[in-house]
This record gives sequence, structure tokens and C-alpha cells, in this order.
Amino acid sequence: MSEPITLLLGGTGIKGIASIGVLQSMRKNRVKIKKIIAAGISAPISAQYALGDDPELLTQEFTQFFVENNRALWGLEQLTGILMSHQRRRDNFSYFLRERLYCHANFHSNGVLSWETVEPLIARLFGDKSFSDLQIPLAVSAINLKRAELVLIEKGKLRGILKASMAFPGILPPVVYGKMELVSSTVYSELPLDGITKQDAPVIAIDLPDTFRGRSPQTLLEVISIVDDIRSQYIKKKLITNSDYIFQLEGMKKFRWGDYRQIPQIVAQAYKETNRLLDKIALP
Amino acid sequence: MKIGLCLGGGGSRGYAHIGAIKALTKAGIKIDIVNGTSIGAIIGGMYALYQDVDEMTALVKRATAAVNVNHFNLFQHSKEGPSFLQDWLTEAICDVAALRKSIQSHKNNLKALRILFDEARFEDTKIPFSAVTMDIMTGKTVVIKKGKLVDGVVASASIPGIFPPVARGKKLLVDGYVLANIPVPELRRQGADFIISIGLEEKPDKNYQNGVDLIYYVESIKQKQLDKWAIAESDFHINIDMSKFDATHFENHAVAIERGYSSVKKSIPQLMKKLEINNV
Repeated sequence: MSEPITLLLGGTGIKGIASIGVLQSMRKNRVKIKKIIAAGISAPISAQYALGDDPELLTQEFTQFFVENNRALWGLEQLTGILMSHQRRRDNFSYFLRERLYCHANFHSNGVLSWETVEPLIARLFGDKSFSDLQIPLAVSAINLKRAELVLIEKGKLRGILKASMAFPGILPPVVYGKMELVSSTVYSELPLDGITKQDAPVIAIDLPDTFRGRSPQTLLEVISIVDDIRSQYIKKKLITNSDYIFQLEGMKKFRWGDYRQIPQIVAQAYKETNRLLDKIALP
Repeated sequence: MKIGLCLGGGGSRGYAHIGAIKALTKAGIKIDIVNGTSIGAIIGGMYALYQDVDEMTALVKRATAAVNVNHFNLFQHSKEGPSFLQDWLTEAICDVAALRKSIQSHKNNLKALRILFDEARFEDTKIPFSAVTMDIMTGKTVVIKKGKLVDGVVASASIPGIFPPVARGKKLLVDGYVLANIPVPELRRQGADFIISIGLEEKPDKNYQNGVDLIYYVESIKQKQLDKWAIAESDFHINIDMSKFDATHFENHAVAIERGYSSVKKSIPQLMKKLEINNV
């Protein structure tokens, strides 16, 4: 394992927190990382790792954040019910409310949540730090709405771009970053596979498999969510061949994208599986 | 050598396909096999069945006059802001979104499609035809080649959220645009040697005003990528610029047909050259 690798991290919603476990495993196995390309919540996790901090600290930070903001994030947890029609009773009033809330919020504003909730955490973790403060080069993926294209940001202050990496359309509003208006690229593809160049080889892509297949949707929002997901998964599947190694963390199937009460379990599962997969391959 | 015609989806913009077929047939290009997604399946199915552009145009007029109701104006933003009715309808849609699988039923669609196809079956078409759909239970594209044309085409045009998915055995079928808006690889697999594909260009609306607009806008970025991959597999692609044509205004079929005709007519010399190079 002497040759340094490029690590590709992504994941939809809270599931991206699996990246903490992945990075812990990389550290334990002394895998040299020459660059991280990250999208979604994996971007702040990668930034913190690239600053030289212990990724475990973030497990505590995120868990604490969700405990403190439980009330404000009611919508998020409720929304996670989407794609769970197999478990729900048709007459469940709470289910009706959560879907109605999502729909109402998105017709009247740019998402269910506002940045007021998330901004203080990002500010506390990264302050005024820039990409130049990182010990490992990091590229953060996002969608530039004005030009309808994917962008990779590798320079400048961390705070703005890390916010943008988590601006999931329908959940959080877009982020103005310089002349760009950015949203998370995980809605396009869970993994920032467009960002890979020849110089990045060998690349390890961490794939968190999808969960929805084979469930009959009951509502319009479920139908739309499934369709959006099918398209993102298809794009990921087409592009993932750009990677040299694909680590499919099969155990992540049991978690949902809004499972914020399961953070320690998500991290532990990712850690365990990454260890197993690293044992299996012989990196150059 | 089999020439295949692949017709892309795009709501009422797809009437341009009739004009496109008119230009191709006038140039003497003989199509051996056709497929399509959504409106592309509707027009493709009609072409395979009737092989007569005038008859197709007359049927489209009849069907539009019989059932056209534009429910989609609700989603268009006016400069004055939403009206009371718009607000009320938005709330109603949120109720529907949390209780039902779609805003509309297939009632009007089926009525229109029965005018176009009556009881005809895929087996009755004069050239092979297939309608492209997607199964949301497996996330895979499904090609329909058998049964009643109405049944296959209605599944291909079941826009998720607007119309309910169509159950077919264990499958739940929706509009094939999800993964194959311009279904070139599917036509190749059916034996077409030289594929002429026709796409209906639209420009994503950057004037997003709420989360719903934003989600739709991001989906259009995905659409662009998926189309790019499909077009790359085509032998000759024609993009009809329909960006200024509203996809919900089915009553404007004459304008769309004319635009399709003039656009494809311009591409005919280049297409002929390409056919010659390929010994077709």
C-alpha cells in the first residue's frame, strides 16, 4: 500500500456520514491519501480529515448537532419516511403530514430547512479556514445552477463551499458562492465521479448502495423520489467505471438518507466494511 | 441494411415528429423500424400503423379537439405573483401528493389514444414498432412490443407524478424518459443498423422560484446528460429546437408539425451524405 490513492466520497443526505468510518479505516490501515474528491455531507467530513483532525470527533459533533436541533429538524426525520411505504400504514396521519409539509415548503420556499440551523456548526468547525490550510488536497463537487453544470472547487474559503456541498434541493436553499449559485451534486450522482482525472489514479470510490428497489410507491412524492433516485443511480453506474477500485458498502442499505439518530451505527458499519474491503484488495 | 427511426419524448413538442417524418419520407428515406418514448411512442406508433402523415395529422387534430384540457398552467409563474386560484390549487396538489400517486388519471389519455389507435395491436403495424417505458420496481427500461398499442403507449407516456404508473404483471411502468428519453440503444438492440434519432430541444428554465422549480431544474441537468449518452450511440441525430414551444400546449400541433418539418428538411442533405457513406 505504498502508492497514494485518491479517495472519492459522496452519499445522499445523512448516509454520507459513512465517510467518517471510511476515513477512520483508511487511517487505521495507513492508506496514503493524495487527494479527496467529495460531495454532500462527505465534503465537511473530508475537510476536517484533511485539516489533520480525528474523524471520530465529527461523529460526536454531528450526533450532538442533531440532538440539539431535534425540534427544528422534525421535517427531515419525518421526510425520511419517503420510500418506506412497506412499513407504513395507509391511515398514518403523521405520514400524510410529513409529505404535505415537504410539498408545501417547496411550493412556498426553496426547501424545508433554512441555513440558520446548519450555519453555526459549519462556522464552528471551519471558521475562516481555507483550502490552503488543508494537509491533503481536497476538491468539493457541486452543481452551478447558473450554468447548469458540475463544478469542482479546490480554492478559497471552506465555509461557503462546504455549505453548498450540503445544499440538497428541496431540503436546503442554494448557496451563493462568488458569482455562482450552488447546490449539492449528490442529487445528480451520489459520487462526484465527473471530477476524476488521469492524474488521480489509483482512485477508490466509496459506493453506498441504494435501497429502494421493489417497493410499490403509494403517493406522488414516493413516485417522484423513486424516479429521481433511479436516474441518479443510473448516472453513478455509468460513471463509476472511471474508478480503479469500487468499495460497495452493502451494509449501508439498511440506513436511510434521513437517519440522523443512527449516526454512530452508520459510522461503525462503514468502518467495518471498509476494513474488510481493504483487506481484500492489494493496492499498488 | 435496416434504417431505424428513434423518436424522443417532450410532451406536445413531440408533434414536431410528424413534420420530421414528413420531411424524411419526402426525401425518399425508407424507415424499416421505429421506436419512441412518451410522445415519441405515440407518433412512432401512429407512423408504424398508418404510414401516412396526412392521416396522422388528421387524427391528432381529432384527438386534441376531443380531450385537450390544459391542467398545467398552474405551474407557470405570472409576473403579478400567484392568484388566489393558484394558491388554492397548490394546496390541493399538496394534499394529492400525500394521498395519491398522481395529479391526473389516465382517463383523458386513454380517450385520446383510442382515437389514435382504436383496437390496433403492435402486431398490426406495417413496420416493427416498440414503445419504451421504465419499471419503477426494478429501475430498468422496459421495451413493449406486444399487445394493444393503446396499452403500450399509455405506459410510455405516464409522466411520473402527473399520471399514475401502469401495472403490467409485477411491473409498475412509467414514462420511459426517466432513463431513455431518446431510446437509441434500445432500437439498436432490436436490429436497426443505421439509426436516425430525433430529439426535441428544450432549455431548462433558470427562473426557479421555489424548491419544486429547483428540483425540476436539477432533473433537467440529469436529462441533458442521459440524452447526451443516448445521442452518442445514434448514427445521425437531429435536434429540433422546440425551446420556445410550451410542452403542455397540445392545441398548437400545427406549429409544432411545421417546425419539425422545416428543421429536419434542413438536415436532409447531410443525412443523405451519411447514408451514402454507410452504403444505405
